[in-house]
Amino acid sequence: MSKYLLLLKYHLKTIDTASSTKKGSSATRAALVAVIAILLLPTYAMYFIFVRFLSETLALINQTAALYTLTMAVASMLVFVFGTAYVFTTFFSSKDTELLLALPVKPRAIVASKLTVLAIQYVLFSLIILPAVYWLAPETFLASYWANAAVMLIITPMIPLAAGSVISMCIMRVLGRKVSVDSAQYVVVTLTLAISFLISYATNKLSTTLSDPVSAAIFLLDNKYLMDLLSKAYYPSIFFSRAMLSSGNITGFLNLAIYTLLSFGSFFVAVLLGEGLYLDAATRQTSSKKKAKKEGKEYRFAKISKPLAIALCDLRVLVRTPTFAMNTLAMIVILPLLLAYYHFLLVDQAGNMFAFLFAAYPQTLAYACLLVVSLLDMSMITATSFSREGAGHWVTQSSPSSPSDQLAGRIMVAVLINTATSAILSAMIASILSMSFDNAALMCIASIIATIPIMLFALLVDLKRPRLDWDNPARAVKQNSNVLICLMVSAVYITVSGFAMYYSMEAGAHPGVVLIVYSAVNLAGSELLRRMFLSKYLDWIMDK
Amino acid sequence: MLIIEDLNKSYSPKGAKAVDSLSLEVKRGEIYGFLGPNGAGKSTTIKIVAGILKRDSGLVLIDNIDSERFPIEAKKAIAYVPDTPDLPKKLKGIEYVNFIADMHDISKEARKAKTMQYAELFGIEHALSDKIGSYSHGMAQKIVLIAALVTNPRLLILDEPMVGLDPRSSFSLKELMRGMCDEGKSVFFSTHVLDVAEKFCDRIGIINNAKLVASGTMEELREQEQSPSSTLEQIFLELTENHE
Repeated sequence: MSKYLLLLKYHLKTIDTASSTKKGSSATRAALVAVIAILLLPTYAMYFIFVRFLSETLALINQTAALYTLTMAVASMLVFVFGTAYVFTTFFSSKDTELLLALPVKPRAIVASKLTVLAIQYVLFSLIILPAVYWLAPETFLASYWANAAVMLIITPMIPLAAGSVISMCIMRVLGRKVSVDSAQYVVVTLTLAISFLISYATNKLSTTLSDPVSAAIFLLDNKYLMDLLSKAYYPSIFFSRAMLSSGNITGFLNLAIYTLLSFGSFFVAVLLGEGLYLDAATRQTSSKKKAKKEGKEYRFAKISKPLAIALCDLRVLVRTPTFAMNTLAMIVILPLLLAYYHFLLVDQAGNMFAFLFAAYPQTLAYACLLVVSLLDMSMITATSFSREGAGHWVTQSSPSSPSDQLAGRIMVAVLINTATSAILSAMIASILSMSFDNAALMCIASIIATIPIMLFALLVDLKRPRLDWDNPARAVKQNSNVLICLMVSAVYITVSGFAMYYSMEAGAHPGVVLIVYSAVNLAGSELLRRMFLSKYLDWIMDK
Repeated sequence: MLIIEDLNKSYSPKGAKAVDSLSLEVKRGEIYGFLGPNGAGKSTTIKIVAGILKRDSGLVLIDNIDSERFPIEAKKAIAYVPDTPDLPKKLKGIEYVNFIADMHDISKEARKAKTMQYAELFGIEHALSDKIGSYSHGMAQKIVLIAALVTNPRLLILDEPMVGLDPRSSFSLKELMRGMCDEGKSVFFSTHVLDVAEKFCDRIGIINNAKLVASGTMEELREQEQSPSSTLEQIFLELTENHE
């Protein structure tokens, strides 16, 4: 136990989510965290209001209790999807693996400490549940209600993380000796997404059964009907809902106890299973074996331009590092898939109302373009362009490449990925809205151009303060405050652009003209940022 | 080939100096060994010359090119090998060599011939198509060396290059360094292996507490210390006494 606590302390000390560089005073870092928190507050406030709206809607059909189940299921699903990939890199791609395995401690202490730190990190996802707890709180203060809520919020990430760990380790056990850790990670993520899609599909099917008159009658008779129904998507959520609804009596206490037991039990199972599986996978021989060069085998040598070489190098690292690929390249596949999935579900349920919407409101073209831009910006490829190099950043620092070579190479990757994503997304949206080819092409081109200033801004931010001191690739992209800063800036820019478009079109401007002006503004902004990059590169690339 | 004049560097405005008024010169066709205790300022000096760190003040001329005013031109003239071979682990060895060769505009024919020559010399021709992440420390060190040598640098800068190399590769590297100098190129390297420095370097500089405390040939160092029969180890210990 003491070894577990020591390891836990070690892991907690090595978490550093706020800083991107080693330098900078603690005051600067605290200020940065404060700015990010302030920027996030309006978003969270909007979510709080949205949940209130949802609770009022559910109250109309006598089903407010379902809000507990729904928010818990959503929070757990998000922890499962995002957490599983992170669990995998934490266990199998961390640089501290050798250091920890050499220590005179039981592997279960390592697994338990790593899982505990992950659960602590993912406790923030419990904020998804908090508004439901707040809006459904009893009118008179009930201490046991808030005590139950506090316990539940703290232990929420345990079950999905334990499930993610077991899946990851089982896959490593099955595939571990046949494929690389990277390939196994791709399998884990695909499987996690498939499970999430299945649960989402099942929930959707359930919701379609609610619109019939029989369900409406049941709602009035049983105020927990929807709560029980939704819990089928994530069964442990029923204990949370019951514990909250029956706070202060024995039923509430029993449900709290069951949920707590389930959480710690699943955690314990994950640790026990993980002990053997982790040790087996982590100690696999990975060094390069000396093998005879095949007869006549020729290595490929080709001289290419510097920007192309930089882009190629970046792309290779992106594709071959699952964590990087999932944060950047996955957008090309996952976003259109999601769009197609919901499009067909909606068409199935409500007919293609979007085609009518576009016919009636041609302005939708401009807003659809903004939607594509906001989806493209989510990958923030250039916000981690230098950070992804980690300790190998010296290669770029000592390379005799000019600022324009570096800029061209790195932007080339972003534009390439954005072009592919935009083309597929635009085609999907054009199909949903029954848009003509020229409109679709304009939307696609305008959205690609619109991402360039943000990508350049992100590249500048990452040039100034790259996060290079990571021991796990996930930290370079997921726990990098540069990404958060750039996402915030992108959100503000898109909002401002949206308002400008709205007022222009209200004044009678044609949506096509609006998009052309929008592109011109973006090109001008890009040019300014390009000049700034070129003038700052040689100064900012040093002393990292 | 390399002139450093009155170089100063500190990592924080009020902190101690990492390099203090350091001046030295590496002549054309010369191997210059840079010695000093841990934390003396060797790596900082080397990183400033390689264009990785900024200087606070002073001058660094590489083949008469001011590395601050013309950093890209200066970097074209050098190849840098760090003390720890941290490389993009997802790249294959051959891809890394090609990348560095592209950065230095090396022709296809030249890079092909040199890569195979050096890969065979260091015994890793079988591993060029493996990812760097699967390499041992020594193999990663060799791939950095190969990439550096393929660029045909006028000044080769190495930070403790013998660490991690097997004896045969270490010998090969020394032979290569001597061969480069015979062609009029220069080598500036740091090491803790005093025996290598004594037998192999044309001139030696000793840095202690951020200051260059001695510089010259073995004979000049002995004269400086007024002990004609001293070994480099004795001179080093004498000069760095009570400072480690």
